[in-house]
Amino acid sequence: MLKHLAAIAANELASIEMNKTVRLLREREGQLAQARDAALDSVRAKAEFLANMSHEIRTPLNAVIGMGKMLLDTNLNTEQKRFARVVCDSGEVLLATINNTLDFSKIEAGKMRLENLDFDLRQLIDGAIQIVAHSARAKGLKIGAHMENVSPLKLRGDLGRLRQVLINLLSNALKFTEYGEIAVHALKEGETATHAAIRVEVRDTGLGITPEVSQKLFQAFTQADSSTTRRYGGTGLGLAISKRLIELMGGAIGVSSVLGKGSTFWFSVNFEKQIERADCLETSSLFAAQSAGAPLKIRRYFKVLVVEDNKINQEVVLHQLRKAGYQADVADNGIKAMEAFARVAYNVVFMDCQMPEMDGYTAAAQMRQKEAGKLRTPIIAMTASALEGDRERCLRAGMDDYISKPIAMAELQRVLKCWDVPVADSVCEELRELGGSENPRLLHKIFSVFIDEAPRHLSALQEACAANNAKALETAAHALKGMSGNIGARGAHALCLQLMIIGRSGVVCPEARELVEALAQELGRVYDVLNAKK
Amino acid sequence: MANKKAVVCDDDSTMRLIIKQILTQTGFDVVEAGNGQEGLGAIRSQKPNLLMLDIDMPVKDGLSVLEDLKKEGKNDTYIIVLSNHEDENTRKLVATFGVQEIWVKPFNAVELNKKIKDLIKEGKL
Repeated sequence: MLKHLAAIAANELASIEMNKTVRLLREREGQLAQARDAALDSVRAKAEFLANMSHEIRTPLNAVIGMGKMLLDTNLNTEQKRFARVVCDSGEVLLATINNTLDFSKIEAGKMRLENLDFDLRQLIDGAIQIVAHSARAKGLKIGAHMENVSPLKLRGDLGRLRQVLINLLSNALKFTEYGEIAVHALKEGETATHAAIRVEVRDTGLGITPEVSQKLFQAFTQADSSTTRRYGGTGLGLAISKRLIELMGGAIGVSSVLGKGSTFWFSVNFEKQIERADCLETSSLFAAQSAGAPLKIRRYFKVLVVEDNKINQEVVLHQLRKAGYQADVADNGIKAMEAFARVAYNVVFMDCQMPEMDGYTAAAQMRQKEAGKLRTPIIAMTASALEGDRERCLRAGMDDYISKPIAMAELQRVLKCWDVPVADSVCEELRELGGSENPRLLHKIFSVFIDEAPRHLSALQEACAANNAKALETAAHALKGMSGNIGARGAHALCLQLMIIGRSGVVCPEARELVEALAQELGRVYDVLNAKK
Repeated sequence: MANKKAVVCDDDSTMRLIIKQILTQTGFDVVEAGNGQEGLGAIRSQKPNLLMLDIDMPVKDGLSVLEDLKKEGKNDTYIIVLSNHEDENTRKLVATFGVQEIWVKPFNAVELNKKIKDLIKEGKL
């Protein structure tokens, strides 16, 4: 009996112990979950902090650099000019430092996502060279590119990051070369049906590097030696970032050098080849030759809308656009932007993302709704926050492209070149898709009809102007407007619309002649593209 | 079974090419007309299942084509108007003539293609 009781007691005790343990475990589990949540919150908070800081720093920096550049364009004496240039240069250095730090922390956190976009290797290289060419020439250095047996040139990859790596290598070469030349060599190392292995080298005739040093160069926060930092500045992050970016692309990066003779920094990546279709980069290359170097005339009939709440930034962007040859209207916020958008057929819209009243994402989404089914106006996001997810958010809101603030002139020109095209690629794609395999010649047929018939309407417009015949002006403008819309000739379409409105007013005003002249030029650009695409 | 018939009435020849492509690949025999006058002739002789009608045309515009069709009485033709105007007035005006669809130019050809296929699937064409 006693034995029995003892057994029961022991059982009881065991079960009490057991309950205690379970309770304890539950408590611990709860604490752990709390700790985990706190940790996650802190990571999120850190990421948010970084995003906010980047925005908060970039916005005033935008003003510093932009206003500095505007100041340099005014009448300054030599001393004032020097001061202003130091302001600009320091601003650029600070910006580069912020960008580098941000990039580096993104890579470290495993948050760097690469994009896969169509690009043209020659354009990539020429564009990067253009950015440093001015400083190279100022130092008396020769700079140029050599493409050895590189075809295909049309590849896929993260264009922006490649440009970043290339510019980094070029600016290093520039920094450490006092005499001689800097040359970019590109060559094909191998090719399969789908891929092409490309090696790009940046060769300089600069200081050169010893083998011991070259091993350390690609590590973070290292430069050749600490005196380098004092003499040449920099964060020592550029090469480390380049290395990681290239490795993320599955490639390799390195350097070979002879002390006193110069260095060759190289990277090689196995790129995917582009499949068939023409994209905006290709179209823009048609005009690259035309626009490079030539003094820009203001494109009077190309309508640009800038949506930006910050007055200083407004001025900076307007100034940059003017320099690039464009005049623009300004809207302070999303609501005003919608009003302007409803009134005027814009060729392109630049959209700030963070604004009071209505932000850029909402405004862009509403613009897309308004124009549903009609010709799509390119919307370019301008944002000061450089973090991942931002770009996706812009694209999801219906925007087409993206530039980060402070806006670099070269970047602005790239975007404009890309979107100021006589014929929208999206429409050509639609028509190609429509023709499909049953009627692959459809696009060709439509283009041929356009090239055959448009000149007749243009001469009708010219005659209508000469004869002051408003009715005839309206009729011809109407006919040409429809055809232009069908092939996605956005610029011609907008010009015809304005001519139609003039015709309908009953009076052929002097502006009509200018518009017809502008239309004749625009049609010239359209024919070139159509002939190239046929 | 014989193909269904469509009349495409638009003075813009690139537009006619695009629409003709959409309709032939969905199984229509297409007759083209470059203005309202030709359009009416084609409608009378073909008695099409579908009429794609532009509004602004020389010689005879789309609205007067619609007026004439209404005067001629009962008509089984499914009418899609292709207009440059999206204002409420045009919509109302066009609706009084028993028009089923109105598409504002320039429109997305791929979307129109989809719409035609849907209409066929729904048995409306």
